[in-house]
Amino acid sequence: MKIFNLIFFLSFNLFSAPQFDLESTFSQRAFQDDDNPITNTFNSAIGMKFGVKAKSDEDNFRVKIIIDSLYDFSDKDRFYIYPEEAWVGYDDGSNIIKVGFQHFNWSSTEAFRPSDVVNSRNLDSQVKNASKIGEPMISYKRILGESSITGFISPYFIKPLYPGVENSFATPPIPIESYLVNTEGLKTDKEPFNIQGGAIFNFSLSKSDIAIHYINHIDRDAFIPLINPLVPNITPIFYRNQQVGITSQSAVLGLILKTEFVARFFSEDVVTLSHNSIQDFQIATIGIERNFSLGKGEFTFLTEYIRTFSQNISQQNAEVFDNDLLIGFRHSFNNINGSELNLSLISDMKDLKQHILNFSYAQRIKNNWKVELGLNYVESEVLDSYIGVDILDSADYVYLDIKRFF
Amino acid sequence: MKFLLLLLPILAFSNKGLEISKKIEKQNNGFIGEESTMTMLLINAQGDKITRKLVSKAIEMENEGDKSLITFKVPKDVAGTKMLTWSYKKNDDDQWLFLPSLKKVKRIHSNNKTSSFMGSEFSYEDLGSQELEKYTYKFISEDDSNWVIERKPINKSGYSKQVSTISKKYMNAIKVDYFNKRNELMKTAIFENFKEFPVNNKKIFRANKIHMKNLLTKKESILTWSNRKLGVKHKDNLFKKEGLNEDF
Repeated sequence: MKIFNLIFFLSFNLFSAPQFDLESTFSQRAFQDDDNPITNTFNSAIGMKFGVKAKSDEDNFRVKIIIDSLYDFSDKDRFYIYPEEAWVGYDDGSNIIKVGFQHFNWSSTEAFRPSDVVNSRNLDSQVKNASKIGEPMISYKRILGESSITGFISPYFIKPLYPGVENSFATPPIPIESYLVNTEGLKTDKEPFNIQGGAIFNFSLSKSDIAIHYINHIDRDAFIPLINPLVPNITPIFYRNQQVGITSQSAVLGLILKTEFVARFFSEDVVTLSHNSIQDFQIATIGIERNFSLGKGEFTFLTEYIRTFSQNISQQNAEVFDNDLLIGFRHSFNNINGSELNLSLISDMKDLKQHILNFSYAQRIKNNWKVELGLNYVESEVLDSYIGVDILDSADYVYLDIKRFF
Repeated sequence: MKFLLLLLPILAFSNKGLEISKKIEKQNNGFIGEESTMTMLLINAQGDKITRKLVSKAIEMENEGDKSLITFKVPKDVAGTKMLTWSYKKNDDDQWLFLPSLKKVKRIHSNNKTSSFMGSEFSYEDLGSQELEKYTYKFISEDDSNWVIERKPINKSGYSKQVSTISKKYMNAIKVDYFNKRNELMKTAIFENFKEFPVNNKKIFRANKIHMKNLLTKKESILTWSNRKLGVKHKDNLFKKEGLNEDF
């Protein structure tokens, strides 16, 4: 809490005219009945997102806080509050330093984002784009002409936010109450103080924007579940890895071409509980986005493909997305209400037995209200992997979000 | 020979249109940097009204098109979204969008310029940088106060032509008629509330109100400027993609 006290002290003494924002969401969702008496078929929740940002009169010192929260009336475990961002910073136009809770995103693709791994996510939020949890870090960005280099260091590991046992996203409905971080060989501990860091170099070449990155961190995307059938509970075990990668967005031939390539390296002495060492692997994603201006709106076509390269087939299969193809459409009506329709389908090209269909329609009502209606449908063989798409097979749902902006 | 003689007045008028346009561009150059708050009133065919608010900043470039940064303020669900445009005299513009909820800088293709801007009757093309080299010009007529000039786009556009009435006093358009691809009069923009801005011993006029009427849909949009400043020396980094994801 000390960091919050410091931020509030600075915001009222150093900064002038802070800007406050408040967004409240009334969220309803209905799941397919999974014949499980423990899990809720209906969720009714209220969410609040509070934001404040301010800068000093000289424009150099800044502070920003965004706190996200949710309370579910039908699921006692579905209550959370966390900072998306809470930092103080200095920006002279060329040098930008921030201290506090931050999140990063330098991904180029929309659905498959192997480069986008720095922050833990709220895995109870939208399937198509899970919210990020801010992590305490110090970052420094140096803008050099038309390029920039950013470095960050984080001393603390924050685990992803998992759905509780009453949540239909929790398949099987077994609690994930703790976690372990693999440190060396078979040793694991719960110590949250784990130094992590990375650097990103951004530059442009003609009509292409390119980012090269290096991260040394605890990988929250790829974990191995340790299942204790006696209690029962699941303990995810996270592993440290180093990731190097390159992402790009290019305007070519009337479309935007997006690519991501990452290589993940694990320490040789890291072994899983099954005594297999984790082998290095690579992931590549390519995507194309094309806009079409129509008389009464704008139509966007999107396609992306992801492929994992690993000598270990079981490890390749453990990745949530591998050899998957996304086809998506977005129609912006370009009307007063900002109406927008989204449809996407992700299909596993290996055996064509896994599909994720997502549909949503959103529009404003006046300037301060927004409604979104959506559907998420998953078809998959149940593989009991606990980490793949198959865990969502019985978690098809429709949702209605009504947002009020203040 | 007779054919060539008949063509001469047309060629002369073509050149006159270009010459006047060059003169107008020269008069409006030299603003260094500009910033303003823009309010857009959208009126549908039934008369319902809704307001949008934006903050606009622009910087003049010496040998290329201008750079501009638009930050959306209202409606609140898109507040904080920024659009950075680098315009070029001949090539397609570079455009990036910053999405604050994702903290993501996204390159977008400038082929969306015929689309409506925020659901208004203005298209991205209407509000973008009007580089001289992107059109051909034809002189139509003149009186004591105004010139009338027709211009046709060289590159992809939502219009077949635009006919501008240009004030000799303000050296700016006071009315533009936009013709669609079927050569029908589609929209009319009226430019009003001209204000004089002294910049480096030069007087530059800017319209502080544009009233755009769509004659086909009967919808209207009124764009007004407030707190407008010219001659502003912006930090150069403000118009760089690298600075776009900084939230202020």
